[in-house]
Amino acid sequence: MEKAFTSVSAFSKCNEGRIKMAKTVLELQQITKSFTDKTKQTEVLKGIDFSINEGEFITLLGASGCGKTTLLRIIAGLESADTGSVLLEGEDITKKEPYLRDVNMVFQNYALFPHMTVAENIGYGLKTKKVPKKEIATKVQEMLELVQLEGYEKRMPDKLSGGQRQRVAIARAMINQPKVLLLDEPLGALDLKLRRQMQLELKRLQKKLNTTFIYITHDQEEAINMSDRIAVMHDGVFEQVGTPNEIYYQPETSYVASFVGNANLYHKADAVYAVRAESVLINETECTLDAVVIEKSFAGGQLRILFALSDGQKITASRFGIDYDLKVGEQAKIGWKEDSAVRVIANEN
Amino acid sequence: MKKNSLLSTIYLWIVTIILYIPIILTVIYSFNDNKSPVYWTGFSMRWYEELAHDRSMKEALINSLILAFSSCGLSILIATSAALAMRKRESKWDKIITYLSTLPIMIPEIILGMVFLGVFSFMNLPFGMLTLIIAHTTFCIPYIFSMVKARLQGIGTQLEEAAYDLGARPFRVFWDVTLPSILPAILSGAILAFAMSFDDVVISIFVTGASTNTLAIKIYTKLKTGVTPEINALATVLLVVTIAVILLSEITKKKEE
Ligand SMILES: Nc1ncnc2c1ncn2[C@@H]1O[C@H](COP(=O)(O)OP(=O)(O)OP(=O)(O)O)[C@@H](O)[C@H]1O
Ligand SMILES: [Mg+2]
Repeated sequence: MEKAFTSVSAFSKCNEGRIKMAKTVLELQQITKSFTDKTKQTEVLKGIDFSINEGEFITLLGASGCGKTTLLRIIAGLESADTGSVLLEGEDITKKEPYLRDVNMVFQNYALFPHMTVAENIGYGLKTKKVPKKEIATKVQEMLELVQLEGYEKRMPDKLSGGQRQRVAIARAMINQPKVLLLDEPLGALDLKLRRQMQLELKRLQKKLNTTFIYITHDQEEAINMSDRIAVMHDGVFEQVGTPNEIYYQPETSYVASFVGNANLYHKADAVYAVRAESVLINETECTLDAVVIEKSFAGGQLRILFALSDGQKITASRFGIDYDLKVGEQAKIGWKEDSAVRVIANEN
Repeated sequence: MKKNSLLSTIYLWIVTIILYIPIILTVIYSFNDNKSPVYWTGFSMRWYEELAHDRSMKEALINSLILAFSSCGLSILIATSAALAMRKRESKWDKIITYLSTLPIMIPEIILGMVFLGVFSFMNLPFGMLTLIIAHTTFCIPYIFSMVKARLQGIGTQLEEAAYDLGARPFRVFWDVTLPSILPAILSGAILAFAMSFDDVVISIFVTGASTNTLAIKIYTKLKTGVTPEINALATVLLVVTIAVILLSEITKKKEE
């Protein structure tokens, strides 16, 4: 037992060492940004501090309007930060023009040039850098192969499906082999099935080319599936940055807990605990809380049962399947194992 | 339902015929062998031949073309750069400037003509091609400006941002992305402006000199001495040119979509 424990910690130490060894590609220091809109000023970014290692897949997760796109645009140079700096491989690029930055962006609605063919679109970044035509052609072919669009080079963007456009957009950015690739909800417009397929392809591409990705998504599953680390943005700062496991199982704040995977927030005395719906037990020995079923709903392959506790707090439990033998209005005892409740800092009302 | 649509079809046809009868008659009588505008005595191209041999007509045509092309060219430059400049920064003056710039379309031509006359006399400009071009450029600008402005609003800035992001410098972005996106709008605006310039009479009469005639002025002055078949032929030529130009504009618009 003892031995197993030390070997695990030795492994994690070695892992840590590896991460520390990894080269920092991008560093954000105290980035702030406000927008003035008809005399009303809103501070969107309130001091973002962050650094990203080479080859890492980072996902920015946060509610709509929290400033994810703004942050990406600041890194790309399409927007300027009010204060703070952006370092790319140690070089301060805060004031550098976007066309001089070794960073590329995949826009949410692709932004393909409508008057250029697929091949011209993909090769555009090399053309601006005055790469010889022949070399561009070979590289475009390689890229087309990589995104599985061979034979489409002469097509115009408006004759492509959503998924194909998406691939062109990704190829157009990746062909430049940027130090960091920024992706603003690149799969947002695709249907679920295509999305799952594209997620796998993107991840495969990212590993293959060992490109650093900063990825925005609204989809928690996508974030958890693809990322090395997730940064949860809230109120203009990164509220928590960590591996999907850390974010999911060890949320630091109530906001992170409820935003990622909709954990229950259970208030007891002055403390707040996050309890995942799947960890809520019903009528088992650990169960000590009196509850009434007030709603049942089926979504995403799971039945969600909403309970009201005697003190008015609401707790959701989830179970696989489409029904559970508890009716709305029925009494039950609920509870959870001690270690499935994580104490969090309360910052969500 | 069917009856209804039949009725409305008939109604449409009647309206169309009433509207277009004068035009159709003009076209038909331009091929009339007889000098009379009433009796049809046979098909002939003689009025077109006469037109072709009329030196003053040729001169007027050349003047009209020079005028239309140069005022179109100038207004393309001015209107496009104005629309581009206005996009860069948002100011409360934008609305006023936009409104003012469309005024030449809304002000009655006769008033515009008088204003030009006043201004040019005050400036002591010699009346002729120069004053014609200035005046026509002024009323051509709004057509192009409004189209380019709408188009710029429609395309947003994302394509240009994508180009910047891919390493294109400002001039390259303009050349590779902005210009191709607004070109259809420039063209359809310019074609419309061309048609406007080509058949303008009122303003031209005010600002032209004694020796500079345009085709449109020519028709107008000839009409004073009565409708001749030659005028019919000339009107037909103008009609064909105008329709062709407007069709072209529609086609470029379609392509834009
Ligand atoms: N150019 C601008 N002028 C004024 N306000 C802006 C501008 N751009 C963004 N904002 C504001 O800044 C905030 C953050 O915008 P941003 O686009 O970064 O959000 P986001 O996190 O990407 O949201 P979403 O997930 O919906 O895309 C929003 O409240 C938005 O209204
Ligand atoms: Mg966004």
